[in-house]
Amino acid sequence: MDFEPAEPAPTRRSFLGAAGVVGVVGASVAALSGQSAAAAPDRPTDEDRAELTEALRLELAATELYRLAAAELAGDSQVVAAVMANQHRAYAEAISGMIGLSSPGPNAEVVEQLSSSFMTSDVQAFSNAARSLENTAVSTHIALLGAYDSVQAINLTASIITVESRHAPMLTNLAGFSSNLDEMLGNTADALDISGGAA
Amino acid sequence: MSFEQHTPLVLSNLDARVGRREAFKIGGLTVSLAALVAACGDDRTGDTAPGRVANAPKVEALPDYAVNDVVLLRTASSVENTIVLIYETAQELGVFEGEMAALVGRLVEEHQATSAQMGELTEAAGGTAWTSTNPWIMERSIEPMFATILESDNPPRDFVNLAITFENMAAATHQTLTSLLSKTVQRLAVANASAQEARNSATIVLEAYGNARQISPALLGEELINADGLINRYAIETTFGSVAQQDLNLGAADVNGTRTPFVVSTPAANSLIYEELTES
Repeated sequence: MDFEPAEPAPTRRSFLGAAGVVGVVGASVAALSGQSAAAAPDRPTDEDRAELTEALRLELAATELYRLAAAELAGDSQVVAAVMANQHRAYAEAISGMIGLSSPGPNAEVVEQLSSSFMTSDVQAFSNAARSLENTAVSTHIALLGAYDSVQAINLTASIITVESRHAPMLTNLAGFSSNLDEMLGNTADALDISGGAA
Repeated sequence: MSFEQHTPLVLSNLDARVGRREAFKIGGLTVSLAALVAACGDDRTGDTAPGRVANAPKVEALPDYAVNDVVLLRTASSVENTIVLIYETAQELGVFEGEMAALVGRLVEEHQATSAQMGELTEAAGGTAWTSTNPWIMERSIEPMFATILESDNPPRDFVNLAITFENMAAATHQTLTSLLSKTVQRLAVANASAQEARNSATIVLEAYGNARQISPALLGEELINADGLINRYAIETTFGSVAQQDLNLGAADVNGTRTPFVVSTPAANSLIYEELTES
């Protein structure tokens, strides 16, 4: 998996390197772009449930990473990490409730790749890692949204995307890049290829 | 003079008190009432509309305009164009300086690009792209808001709060559209627009108010306290994206410290850009 770079260009690709599965869902989304969602089912279909399970595992991974950070950080940044953990736990619970799956466990690959970046008392290092995770999560949810059939899956995912998109600039600001409008307003992170349960 | 002695009327002797004469009376009355009801029933004619009093004008039925992809995408364009107008007005008035001015310049480009994208999708869906502001929102919201800001004690502050609120509204509008539009390409476009405008809102908050407005106290289990007649906005205010209406206080405070309140909502039936609506 390849996460959004932690540092503004030109060191963008140095954060996690090319480790893991480099996946972009964009291609599959483009192929779907002519499909009609008319008369969409209300409840998640079997295909939706498979995709939502991976989204759930991503949210559980984010929850675990922020908990690791909260244990290392202090003061306001610890509060930020704790709130972020709660936010992602809420997304996981909402997805879990929708598909009726208690806990498939976090995406182990995401946790493994990012845990060392989150287990730090350095606020800037934490913020860098966290904003990368948020940007990647937004891109991943948007890619998945294009593949969902059901209204419930689309609505829930859309409401998660809107707030995770707010997490990213807040963490970018915390990382000290508030004057860099490209970093504050832009999201160049690739979506994770989690549609096949790669993790 | 004779005195009839009546047995007291109780349940146990009710039948006994109905004699033959009384039975004829009751039977005749029943037949008469049945005839009266029948006369007023099946063959009743005339206007079935609710009764009207005095010389009120006749109520006209509302037109039944279709709400389809074209209408939703034209409405999305109209929201984007309305936000561009807000920023361009602020630029013309010169209320922003430095980094905030640079940010606003960038946001104008963002919204113009999104409007153009929605226009392309409108045409791809067989409609005519909407290239101007939303007339209903302009008349009911923007014009009175601008009038209030021009009389304000702090126009830059009010423009910032107006921008934050409309970015939130635009994000909520696109969020809502994700499940209303019928094509995947349309849904992806509004999902991306929703994400972008949520980022815009958080970035304006942080640029204008700094780290003190990173996270709403409500998410920390604390009381949300608004001061000076203003509604505090935060980079992160909720856990899930809200599509509820938003309150916005603008203008100078009165003697009680109260500012002019407004409510901003996502477009609804009265503010959609129907296909029957043309640009002037």
